[in-house]
Amino acid sequence: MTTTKPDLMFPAGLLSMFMSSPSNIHMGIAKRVLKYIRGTTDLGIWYLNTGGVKLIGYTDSDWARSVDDMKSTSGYVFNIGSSAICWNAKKQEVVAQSTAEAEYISMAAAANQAIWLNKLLVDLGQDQSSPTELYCDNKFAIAIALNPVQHGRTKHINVKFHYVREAEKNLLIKLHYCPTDVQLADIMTKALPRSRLEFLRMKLGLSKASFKEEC
Amino acid sequence: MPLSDVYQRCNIVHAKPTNYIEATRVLAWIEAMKSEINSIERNGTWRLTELPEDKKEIGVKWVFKTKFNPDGSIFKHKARLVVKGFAQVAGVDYGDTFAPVARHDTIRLLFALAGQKGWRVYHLDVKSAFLNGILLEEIYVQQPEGFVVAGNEHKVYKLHKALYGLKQAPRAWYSRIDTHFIQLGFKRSENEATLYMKQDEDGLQLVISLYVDAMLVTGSNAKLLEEFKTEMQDVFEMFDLGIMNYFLGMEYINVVRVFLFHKGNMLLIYSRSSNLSHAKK
Repeated sequence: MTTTKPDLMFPAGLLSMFMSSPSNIHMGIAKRVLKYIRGTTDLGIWYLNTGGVKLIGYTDSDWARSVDDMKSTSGYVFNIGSSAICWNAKKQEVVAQSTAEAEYISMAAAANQAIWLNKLLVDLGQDQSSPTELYCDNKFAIAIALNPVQHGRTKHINVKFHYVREAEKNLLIKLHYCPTDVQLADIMTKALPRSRLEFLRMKLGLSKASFKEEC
Repeated sequence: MPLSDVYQRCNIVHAKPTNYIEATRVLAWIEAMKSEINSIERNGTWRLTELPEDKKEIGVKWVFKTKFNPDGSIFKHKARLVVKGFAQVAGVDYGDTFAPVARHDTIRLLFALAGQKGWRVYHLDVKSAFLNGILLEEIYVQQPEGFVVAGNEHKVYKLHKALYGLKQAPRAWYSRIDTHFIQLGFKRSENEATLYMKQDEDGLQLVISLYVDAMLVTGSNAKLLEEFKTEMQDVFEMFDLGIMNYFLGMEYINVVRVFLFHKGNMLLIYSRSSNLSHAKK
């Protein structure tokens, strides 16, 4: 289901964490999700001609979401034109000690994916001459990636996550700051109020089957 | 409810024999088995031979399946000969068993590309794909029930091509199709084992995304695409499903440069199993 509905990635991931011993609360959430699905069966992703194959990534995290082990969630979305092609939401493997660190870890996952997608696009003859733009709504996380300062608060971060630094240095990705309002990956990491959900959903290219035919 | 109605509704149970002896009671099943044997023979799958002393033959069995039309009437009796692959020994009878499949990310990437470029995406399917795989290992199977060659009862079949149920059938098929694509001038992507491209000076011409026996084909050159279909049909038995509308549970509509896909069928299953049809929106 999540293969065509990025808006379901977060609830699906959340629910599947409790598959082994679900409680009534989870049942309630599951029902809520099913109702949502029923109301949105006619939503699909539209892939339109927006005049250029340009990959743009968004990365976000939710710090210490899991109450059991205080691990954070990372999420990323990649768009081509006006539609999402690739998304993921995953509980992080290590405990992040700050929001910036959580962002940094999810940035590393997104960077890996960005590099792979970039290679695929090059294989398909779509030259991505400039680095893939990766948007993140945490300035400190970007600062860690750009500049190995703040040693006191970052020295414990696992080596593999510092891959972001190298990717940025080698011009494979380009990190940008974006305010939370336009952070598309928000939808992967947290439950959102209706208006926000609908806005982000639209930004990911999800709309009704009949809507575009009229245009 | 009258008993006849019950029988009527239980026709699935009646229509599917579980073994060879049961199947021989109905003419349609005998015909189905004959047609399966014929297609195996035509395919050059095996040759009757003596079993070498240091080898062991593997058993085969018949599997029967009734295919129905959407209205519930019988469409086809299908008999398939399968190898009891569980008797194979890892490392001796087979090595790798997997066939790579396309990632959903790649498929969506392909859609995005097709959307941007205004290409159409076609869906092709290879009939009985696994039977096309060429075997590297030496494998002997018993003669199938009901089709033992008179006078040669002790002999076994040596397999040249794969049969369903063989552990290495998917792998053998992937090697076969991979070689075939490369012969046709396609280049396999280094980053995705199921993505094949054909390029020339003018840029990208054709892209194929392989999903075991199904493939999505798209590209800028409509003439080459037609040629590719014919080339494929010469070598394999193919279903040409035309412009893709349903693939891996993704529905897909093509409205002049506009594409959509969502899981129509999948949703139906979900809503049924949870009684969602009664839930208020």
